[in-house]
Amino acid sequence: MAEIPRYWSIYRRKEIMNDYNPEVPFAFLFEGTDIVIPNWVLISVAALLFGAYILINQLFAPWVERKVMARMQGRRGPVYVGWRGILQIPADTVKLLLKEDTRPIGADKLGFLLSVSVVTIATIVSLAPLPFGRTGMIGGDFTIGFLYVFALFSLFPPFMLIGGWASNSKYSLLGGFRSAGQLIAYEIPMLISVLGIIAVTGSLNLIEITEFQIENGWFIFRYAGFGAVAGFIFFISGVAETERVPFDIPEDEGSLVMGPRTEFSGWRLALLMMVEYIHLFVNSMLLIYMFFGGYDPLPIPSGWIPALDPFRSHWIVTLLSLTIKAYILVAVAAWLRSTLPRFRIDQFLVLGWKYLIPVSLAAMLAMLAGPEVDVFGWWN
Amino acid sequence: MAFDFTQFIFFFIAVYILLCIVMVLRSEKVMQSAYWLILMLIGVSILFLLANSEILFVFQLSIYSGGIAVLLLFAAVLTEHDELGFDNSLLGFVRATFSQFIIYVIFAANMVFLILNSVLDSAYPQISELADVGRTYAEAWSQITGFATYIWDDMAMVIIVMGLLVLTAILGSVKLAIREEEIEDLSEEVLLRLKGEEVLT
Amino acid sequence: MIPLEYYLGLSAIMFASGLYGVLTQRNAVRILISVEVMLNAANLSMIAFNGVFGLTEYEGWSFILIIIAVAAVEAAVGLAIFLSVFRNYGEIDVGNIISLKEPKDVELI
Repeated sequence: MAEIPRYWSIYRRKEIMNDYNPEVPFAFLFEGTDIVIPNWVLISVAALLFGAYILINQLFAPWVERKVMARMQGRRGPVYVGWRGILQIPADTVKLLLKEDTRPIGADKLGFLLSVSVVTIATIVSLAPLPFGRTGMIGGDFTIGFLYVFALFSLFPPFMLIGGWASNSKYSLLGGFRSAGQLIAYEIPMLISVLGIIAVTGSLNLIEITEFQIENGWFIFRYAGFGAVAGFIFFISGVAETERVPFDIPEDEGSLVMGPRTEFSGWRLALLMMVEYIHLFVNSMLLIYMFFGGYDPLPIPSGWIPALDPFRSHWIVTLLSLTIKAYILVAVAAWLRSTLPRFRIDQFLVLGWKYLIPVSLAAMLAMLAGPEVDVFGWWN
Repeated sequence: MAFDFTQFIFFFIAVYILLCIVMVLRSEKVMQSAYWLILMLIGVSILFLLANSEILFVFQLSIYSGGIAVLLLFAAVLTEHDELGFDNSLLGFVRATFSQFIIYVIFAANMVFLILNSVLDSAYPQISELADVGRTYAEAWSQITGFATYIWDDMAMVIIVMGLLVLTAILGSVKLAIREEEIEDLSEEVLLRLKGEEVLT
Repeated sequence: MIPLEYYLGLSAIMFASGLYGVLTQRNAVRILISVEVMLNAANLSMIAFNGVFGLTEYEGWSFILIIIAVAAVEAAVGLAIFLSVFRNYGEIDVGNIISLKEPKDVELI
């Protein structure tokens, strides 16, 4: 096995990924042939495919979640619209878009509009640095890839609080307070748990982090178990950031009707639901890129079984493995949602500030201290 | 210097920022000025991006408009919702704050002329690197690593002192803001919860 | 390429507007918000001057980092002070908090 490079540099990226150009998607399909296709055609086709991929997943993943949840609770879930209710989510969306758009009396008009629109724009724009396989389907190949997503998601707490205040309702205001406190508290362990990975790879770009894992093995199995600890903390923080069970304290149906989203209806509610699912999707994607090898189908380093290497870097395999991993995480989210009770707000904040932050700091230091101690090191 | 699209973007953002500041100063409720301030901070972060600094874009967006703004919103919600002391029209605004407005105009014009004159006349090299759109990935990444190296080499003590300052301020403000309850006023259930025992109701 | 003067002019106007807000507003939270506007004006001029001196100079950037940290500290301490003032006086109008001020009807000896 080759010596593990201590720091992954941008020049190493060029050596490994000579066939991969994120500037021009799908260009590798026509290399060595006589077919000449202009770049703008390739870019437009990739943009269309990207949009279609996101849209189909948005309409399909909630159905998967509802079906899994129903099976776990001994129900059937949606059955009427389409084959086994597969068109339930599009039907719900059309129904919400056709409903009347209402605003409470005394609501702050601009704040009511801003909280929906800023959150929606930030969520859609945050899909840019995610590479969908080695196809070149990536919105922007930034140097600050992970931090860009992180910065856009940090716009959520103030605008949730503004939306709760602007609705002129006590449930919305209390939910807005809880939402802001929860999101601020769990951003910190989420960032600290990946600092070790960022320092070891020496990069913030999601393509480079994934390629590092293809060469050296997935991070979840490395660093003598501390990779798994950091991944677990990242997963918990991601569930808390997306406000899902067991951390759905802001939209506590029993005491606050629907939290900061109580007064929204019609297309605003449709947009907020879409934001919730894209947020879940992007958080699952970040977990996959950081700890589960990104678009890599196998958890072992690339040099071990050389016969499999062309198979692993094929573009269809990478896209499929990414999608399958994302659906597994959606099923895990449904599992949590159907089985666990809700935390109380003070227990929840104590968990975040007192336990997760010190443990994530320890995991980061352990990653920096012993990068060679891992499962893949014991093999040789 | 030729007019290119980065200058167009700059003027667009600048007009947006000035509009946000006007709304901050003359909006009716404190909460409204707070959210106009957040919109202004997002505009400033885009200007950082135009000045070739991706990492400061991230800092501005996540710390300023994500963290500090929440503190300001909390301060606005938890205290009194006041109204402005004068009409909500521009005329009323100008009439109520006439003398300050004159001072503002004189001061702003003075400052702009002062800065522009001193910059245009001085020996500053006119090689503006702002909004260099032809920068490659490697150059951008070397800039970020250079910034990190600069911080942890030359500014290391400053960062440590700054961390101590932030820690002191956080502890002090928690001590100041926490409400100390009289123990006799609490109900038995709350007392049991404070001791960490489970309450069965 | 954006010339340096554009950034500096915008920064000067922002700074003057923030100062105007500090001078005219009476609510303490509004004063804090105006101070944030002034700090951002300073940040803009810092990053503009840093861009003029080349791609390998980072003094301006590190000043911006320090300014952001100081602004966070200021907002946290400000929130705590406003909360305790509001608890004691029932308002945070800086013109009415005068318990340390000398009463007018008491004559000096």
